[in-house]
Amino acid sequence: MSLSQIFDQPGMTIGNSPFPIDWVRTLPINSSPAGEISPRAATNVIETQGRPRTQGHMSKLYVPSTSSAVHDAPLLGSASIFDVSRAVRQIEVLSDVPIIFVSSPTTLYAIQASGSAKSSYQSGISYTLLEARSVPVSKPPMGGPSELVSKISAARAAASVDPESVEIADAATIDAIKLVERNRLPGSPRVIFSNDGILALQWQRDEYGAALMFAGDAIASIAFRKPGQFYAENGIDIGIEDDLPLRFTEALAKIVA
Amino acid sequence: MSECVEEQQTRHYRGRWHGFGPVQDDEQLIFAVFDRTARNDDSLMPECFKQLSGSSESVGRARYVTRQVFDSKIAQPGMQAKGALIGIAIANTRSIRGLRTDITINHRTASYRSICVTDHVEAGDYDGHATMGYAEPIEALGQTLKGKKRMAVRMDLANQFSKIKVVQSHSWPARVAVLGGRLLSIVREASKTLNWSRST
Repeated sequence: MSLSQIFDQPGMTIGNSPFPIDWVRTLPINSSPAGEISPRAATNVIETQGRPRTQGHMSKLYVPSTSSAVHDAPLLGSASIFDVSRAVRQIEVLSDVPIIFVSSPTTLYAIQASGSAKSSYQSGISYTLLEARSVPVSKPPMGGPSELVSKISAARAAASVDPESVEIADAATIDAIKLVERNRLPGSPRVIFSNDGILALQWQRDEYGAALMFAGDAIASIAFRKPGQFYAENGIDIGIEDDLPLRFTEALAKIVA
Repeated sequence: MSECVEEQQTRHYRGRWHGFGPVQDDEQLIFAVFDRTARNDDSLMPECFKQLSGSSESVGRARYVTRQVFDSKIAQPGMQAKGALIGIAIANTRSIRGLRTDITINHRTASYRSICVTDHVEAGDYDGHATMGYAEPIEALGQTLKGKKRMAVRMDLANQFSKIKVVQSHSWPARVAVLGGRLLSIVREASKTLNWSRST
């Protein structure tokens, strides 16, 4: 099944896709040439973070030096999306359909591997891309946790981060997405990246606010604002996998009410 | 640990007899907003403060910046780098200096100033130039904690600034008022010198 075929099926859902499929399929596919990547892309290997499933976040996309032809593939919207050192920010493989979402500094791309071969690769599971297509993504999706996930991904793609802090920003993005996917967070927070790679989700209304801050260390720092108290004057640290404290969820409910 | 000691004495590159002296608590600070300044509707966003480390986040001292100085020394150079001028946001120095940060070290939490405001003027700057920067205790933290504290401080700092308003709606000081401020600064320094010589 090709990527365009998937996108053309109304209402189809793909696992825990961060992008509602109805939205994805309306993308201006033709605004940038999309097509198959050079067969040499078959040598690409994606390493998961030790997650033996097809769904999860991954940190690295390895491109053998011999695949330089990929970078020159004329049908690819932006060949640099395969250069992890320069452009790849976030990768997800979704459900059983090997769709990978990659965000470059300017654009989010969906890449489909139409054939996948699973094999052990060090501590994780690796996938070999046999075929891939790219689609530029430029429109925010609608509704639910996936909306915030997309917002975070888009913010990361657009963020200006110091070169030495790119890894922190990428790890912070992954942590934030993990937390967002596990928790139904109300409202529409500001997504803020600092140039030193820190990611913050900030909900604020008038004198009241709450913020989640991520530094890619698997810890989310929670801060509150209220009359007489600044964000920097308090803080609760929780693990990314921990439940959000009641104090935070209650504060959030009041802010977005 | 002393807090923001650099605020106590002038940071004018030509010395204490020049400029307007240290920024006073009752002064207002002007932050120029350009097209590429991070903002949310008419409010500043935390990430618009990109130069706080190294105490080089520029602001204008409202009392000493005429409209002409703003146009020639702030707006025009800023537009070249950051796009069209959108407006300005104003904050009180006292409220910025009132920002606090809690830092816990070895299970002991202490409260520190978050931001220092100094009359930092270098060659080429206008005399009404000032800078904001993170206070020393924040800069002394480890990488991760420092990053998160800096983010929280920027959120707090953004909240101290007014809504963005158009330049025309601001009450710019007349040149004679700025000259008066200059004379007052000289008198202040002379008074300090006199008091110092009497005490010794």
